Amino acid sequence: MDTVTNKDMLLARFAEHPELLGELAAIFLEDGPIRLSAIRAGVERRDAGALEAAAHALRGSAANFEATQAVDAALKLELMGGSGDLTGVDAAWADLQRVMGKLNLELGALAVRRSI
Amino acid sequence: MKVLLADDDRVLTHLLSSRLQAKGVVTIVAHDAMQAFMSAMKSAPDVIVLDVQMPGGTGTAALTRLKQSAKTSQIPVVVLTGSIEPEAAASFKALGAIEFLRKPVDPEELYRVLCTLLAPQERAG
Repeated sequence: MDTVTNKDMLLARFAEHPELLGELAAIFLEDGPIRLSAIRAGVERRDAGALEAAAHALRGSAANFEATQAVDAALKLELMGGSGDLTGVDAAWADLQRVMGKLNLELGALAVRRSI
Repeated sequence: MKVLLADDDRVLTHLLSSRLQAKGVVTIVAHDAMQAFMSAMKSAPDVIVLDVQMPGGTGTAALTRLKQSAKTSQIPVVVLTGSIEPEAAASFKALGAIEFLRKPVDPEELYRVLCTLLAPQERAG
């Protein structure tokens, strides 16, 4: 199955603390919708500064999970916001949403595992 | 060792706090710049670990404020940033940061930095 996290690396990093990984995943899933909604607002308003800040925040948080695709997709939006050139922003936003959908599923499985 | 962790990313603060606490470090967490400054004033941590890119540029402002306040100016500040700018380290050190770590932050690396920073103090004390 095509995954958006480097699961082997992630599980290895938390091999001694699997419960902590579950807690972190749960926090990410709680905060993710707020971060995505801030990005959406930046895209819809064509507000480059807000987009840069919101995408930067999501990129930082996703980076904790070896989620390279999400990090790259957020970085693309962050750089667009930083440069002020929003050409292609809708496609980049769609790509981020697609990747985040997968990431949420993968982290959701880890967060659920914590409570078993 | 008492450390103030200031970052708007709750994932990162929980990760760092959990791993540092396991090593006996007392942690205080702040999720915005104002909270960070107030916690630094109130709790007098040994080190402040500060994300300088909290929303609205407030992290950088907090660093400046911490270095200007008589009560907090002597507390070492380790800066965290997700910046991809190559000159970021120099610019934050110019503002008074003593050390600079790029995100994602490895808790073990942060712990090593904290131990290095505090070793002379602890030997003296």
